[in-house]
Amino acid sequence: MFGRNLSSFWAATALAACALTSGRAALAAETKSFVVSWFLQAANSYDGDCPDGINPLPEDMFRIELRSIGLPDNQIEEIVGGVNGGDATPEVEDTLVNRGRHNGKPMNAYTYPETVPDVGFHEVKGKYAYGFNLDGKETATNYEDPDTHEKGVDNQYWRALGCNINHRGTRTERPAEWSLHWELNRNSMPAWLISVTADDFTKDGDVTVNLYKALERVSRDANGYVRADSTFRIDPDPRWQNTLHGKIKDGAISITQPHEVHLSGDPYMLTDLDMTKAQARLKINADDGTIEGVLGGYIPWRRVLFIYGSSGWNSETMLGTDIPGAYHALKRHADAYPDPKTGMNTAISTAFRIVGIPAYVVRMDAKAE
Amino acid sequence: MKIIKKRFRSTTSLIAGLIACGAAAVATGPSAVDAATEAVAQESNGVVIRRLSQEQYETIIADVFGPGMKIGGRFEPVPREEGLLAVGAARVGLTTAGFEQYDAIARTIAAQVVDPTHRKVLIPCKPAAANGPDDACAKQFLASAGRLLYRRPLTDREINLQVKAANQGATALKDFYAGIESSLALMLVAPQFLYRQERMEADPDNAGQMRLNGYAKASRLSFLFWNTAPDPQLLSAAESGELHTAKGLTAQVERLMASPRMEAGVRAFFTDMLGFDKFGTLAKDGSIYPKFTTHVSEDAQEQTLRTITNLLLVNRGDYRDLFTTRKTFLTPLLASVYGVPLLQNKPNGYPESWHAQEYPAGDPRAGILTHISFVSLHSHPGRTSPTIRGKAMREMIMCQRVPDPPGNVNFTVVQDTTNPLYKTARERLTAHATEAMCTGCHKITDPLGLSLENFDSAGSYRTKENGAALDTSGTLNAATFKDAAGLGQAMHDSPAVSQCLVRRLSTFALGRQTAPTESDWVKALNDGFAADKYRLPDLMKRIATSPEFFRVKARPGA
Repeated sequence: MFGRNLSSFWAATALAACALTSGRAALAAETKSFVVSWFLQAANSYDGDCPDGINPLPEDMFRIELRSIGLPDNQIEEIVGGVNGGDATPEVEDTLVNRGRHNGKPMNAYTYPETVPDVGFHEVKGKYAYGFNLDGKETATNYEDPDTHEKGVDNQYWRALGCNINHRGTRTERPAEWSLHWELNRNSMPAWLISVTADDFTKDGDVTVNLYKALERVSRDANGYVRADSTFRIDPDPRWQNTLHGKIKDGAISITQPHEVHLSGDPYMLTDLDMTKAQARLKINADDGTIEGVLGGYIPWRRVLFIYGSSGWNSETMLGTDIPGAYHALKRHADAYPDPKTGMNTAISTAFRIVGIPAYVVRMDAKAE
Repeated sequence: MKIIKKRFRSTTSLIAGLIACGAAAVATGPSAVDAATEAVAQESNGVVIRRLSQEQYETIIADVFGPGMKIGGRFEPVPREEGLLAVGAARVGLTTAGFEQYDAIARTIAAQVVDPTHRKVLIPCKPAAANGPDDACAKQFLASAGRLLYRRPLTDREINLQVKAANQGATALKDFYAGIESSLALMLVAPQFLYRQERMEADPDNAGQMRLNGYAKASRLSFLFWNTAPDPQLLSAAESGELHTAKGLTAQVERLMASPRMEAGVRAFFTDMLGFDKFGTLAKDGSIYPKFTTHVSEDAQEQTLRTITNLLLVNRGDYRDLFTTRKTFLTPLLASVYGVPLLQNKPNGYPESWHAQEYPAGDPRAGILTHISFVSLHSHPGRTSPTIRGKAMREMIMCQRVPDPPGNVNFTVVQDTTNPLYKTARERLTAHATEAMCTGCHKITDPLGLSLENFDSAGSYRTKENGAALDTSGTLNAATFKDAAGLGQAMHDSPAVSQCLVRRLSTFALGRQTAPTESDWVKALNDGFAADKYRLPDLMKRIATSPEFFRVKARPGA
């Protein structure tokens, strides 16, 4: 009667113009719905995974980059000494923001990161990383998933930036960069929804996973977390409605038919999540009704860069990712969809940890409209 | 009574002293002293002097000076007596700190009234010169505002003192409006404003007897129906003597009842009866009940009040149906706590709006006892309490007295929710109640409270506690039930519930508990309530139009 399995009463009266996804898909089917509470890079840091070391913090990166553009050490120290944790004078900030060089002229390092020499981010060389074998191959640049032990895991985004201190994390210890972005922006971005439909969640069989963009934003509870059991409408725009098919086995849901996923996010984070060959594995926690898992696929690497570049100076000095460095690393490790003209890969393999909490999800009923 | 009188005397002395010492050098002490003395002199048998509640104060200020007045601060709490703050309000004095709060608020209001924006609208005349006194203009404003604030015309002596205060202020500060401001501030801390004083007069129809004067009657009516001071029309009815006639009284009662403002009176009564003042200090453990926020707390009260006014006023329904109704109102926030879907259907950022809801037949949520406003208010921060819930039902809803537990009770078994031997509250209470000294009271409270165990301390629905299935069966007198819906039906059918409403409402109206000599009146009200199919407005009308509502005794020796 309660929870997300709804009586026909509610469908008929309380939400007259909408159709509830919960329990409404088919007589025999059961649907469980969630609102995404966390969406983060699927970090899997452990001792030794970055044998070349963790990438230096911004001040040291600035030194390297300023040195590479020919500034003398005493001037470099004067500039870097003024960074002061991001609370720099306008002059210092201006100098560092415009540390790119083109024909000897200063260039904005965030708008034109290619004008800053590559500092050469250390890459993640460990054996294990979350994700999926997206291309069906096993190569030297692939990982093994630590949970499923699937080989040939493609996750070059992790390789590119996983040795930055603010990307370090595990399943239970959220990486700082993504945590902060998600925490700050989910208040203003439309909620993302997950609806999982199966004939019987207690038995093995087919499963459908729908990923939606909501019209509503999330609300917070007393602890600042996303409030459970809220009601969301699915954005009727078909661009943000994604249906993935898979199997449920022993309670574990896995997508067996890779598909595109498109979700609209926040301009300061992921303007759009455009993922191709998306795969996912999810599990519903019987104790608290939450869902958690990994979503992986290819996304345009420049879209990833925008996560960092959009907040430029603040992102660098507060979160610690050297943006030109990220640009070079992402470009270097991009591994799919080569540009027909340049031959350069335009997409990078990724894996994200996705967590959802119970919610009511309703679809605007076309007939009622 | 002696104690009360003594306390009141000291309060009024305090007011006088404070005003004389610090309120304003230009202000006249005698005004307040006179007012205080006069107030004390009015105290008499059958006459109740009640301090305005904060809501009443704020409403009056809004009525008199407009809703734009900013009123900061928080008034001193009032003790709950006879189950109501309305009775406690007749038994409180004022501390120094409390008076300082009133004084600060009064000054804030007075300053707003005379500011260049408001003076144009609120002060009906222009002074001959803005930099000095103008007694005629001051009198025009102060007499008009004073009539509404004091709920009666000011006496000549009172108005002269107020005008004198305004004159002195204007002269000293070379500003007419500063004078008005200081005089108005004095009026706003006067006992005549802060306390609902009731004056008697000789009853011309009954030689040797006293009666409430028309203005006192007007106040009783207005505060009962609208929870605010009488409007000009009611004051005129008081002045003309209309309220002393049955026809005139009935006409005014019907006018008050026909107004949308009656909802304010009904809300005030149920807010008091249901103890919603306790929400001010209600806290929940966020780690256990993350959905429970201060907004939930506010919405929960509003949900119940909307349910009540919709059933009792809009639909003129049976009071007893409050305990069984499946109709209510929800915000998306409340819906998330209850675990039901609810669409706002508005753009992001809009304030959450209210939506009419109806739980389906068979749903365990029925009646206001299953509302968050009841189950959360009568629970511990981290767990439910069937005992507290049962006690609240007995005392609030059924007007029965449940003794407090003895001081040496060992609550360890009840409080330990982690004991694997006693997973549910029922099991813990059963173990606890084996102590002889506890059994008696728990027999009264627990069979009621345990039937609400489907609702946790925040009001969310559950079927298990610590993995164990909940047994929500209960009993009330001869009635047995299996869940909260059954409890609601049993409450609906219990004569004690409707009788309690009559008792509470009459007490609320009078500001005191009814006396044994008034038992016939109470019985007649109960009979009438039943004859009226338990419709609250009809009961209010019966109270307001009955002679007992206004009856006072002659002062001994009078």
